[in-house]
Amino acid sequence: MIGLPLTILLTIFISLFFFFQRKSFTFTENSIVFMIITILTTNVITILNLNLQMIKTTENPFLFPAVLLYRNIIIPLLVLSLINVSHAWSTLKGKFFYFIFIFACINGIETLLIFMDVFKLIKWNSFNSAIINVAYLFIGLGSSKIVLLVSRRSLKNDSGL
Amino acid sequence: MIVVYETAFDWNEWFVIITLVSLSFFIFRIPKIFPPIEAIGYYLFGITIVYFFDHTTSVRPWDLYDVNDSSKYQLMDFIYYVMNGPFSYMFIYLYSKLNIKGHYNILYIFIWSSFSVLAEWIGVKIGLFHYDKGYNMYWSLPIYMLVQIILIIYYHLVQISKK
Repeated sequence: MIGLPLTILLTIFISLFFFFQRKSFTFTENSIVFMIITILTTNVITILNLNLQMIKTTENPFLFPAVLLYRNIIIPLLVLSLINVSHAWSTLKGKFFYFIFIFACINGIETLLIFMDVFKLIKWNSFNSAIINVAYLFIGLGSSKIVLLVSRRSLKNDSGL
Repeated sequence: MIVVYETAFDWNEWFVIITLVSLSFFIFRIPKIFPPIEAIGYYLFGITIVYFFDHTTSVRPWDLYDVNDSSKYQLMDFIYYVMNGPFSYMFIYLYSKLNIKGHYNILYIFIWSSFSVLAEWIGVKIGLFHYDKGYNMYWSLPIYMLVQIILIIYYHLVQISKK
């Protein structure tokens, strides 16, 4: 039952890390990317769990909040951290290493959650998870570019929605 | 265990499609008051929050209810989640347009929450929601009120961040 307190602790650390990080995107832009990634992770976990039965989320109602924290806060905040750094840093090498760092964080936390019985892999493996996690990061980077484009156009033209 | 309630393309599907199309059309016709980036944020908020609640309380271990024709996640479920976007947009649109302040916030939230419960009741009647697994509608009013308070906080945070 150490899974939930550990996930809460990780969520607090990641939230604080992101809170004090220098942001290159505005609150609205960050919140939009956050929501896009949250919708994406929720879809992926539900489809893999409920429809395809490739993974199994915990049946323990006291451990289940760990799934929610991972799905709705940890992954989106790590993606936000990456996009803010990627936009601010000019060197490709720095961006690449930060990408690897965030990728390692997501995979490491996921492995920890599997170890803590929060997730069970049935017809799934860590390699597949790694591919999905890379996809989250790339979709985060891609959506941040689109969000930035829309934001700049919003400033240029005064037309609203 | 997967539960299938029905297989016909009937009222629940039409309700979702007609609501989404008509409200989206309505949003594009009304005078614009938000920059596109803000509007996207308010629209996405509704989708995200309903995704969060439904994919938390309607999946195991809690699994309190089902949405649409089957307990599996289907394409129509996805369209239903997108349908919630125009509602959150309209909520903030009217909030901003009517310049709601002070204690009128309570009245505004209560009216919208009551309207949401009514819409949910219609949803139950036409088979959009299935509460056979133990969910009760009296939970919905406080949940809607809480979500709408968060949406108003989000709106004010966006406004503060603009200054």
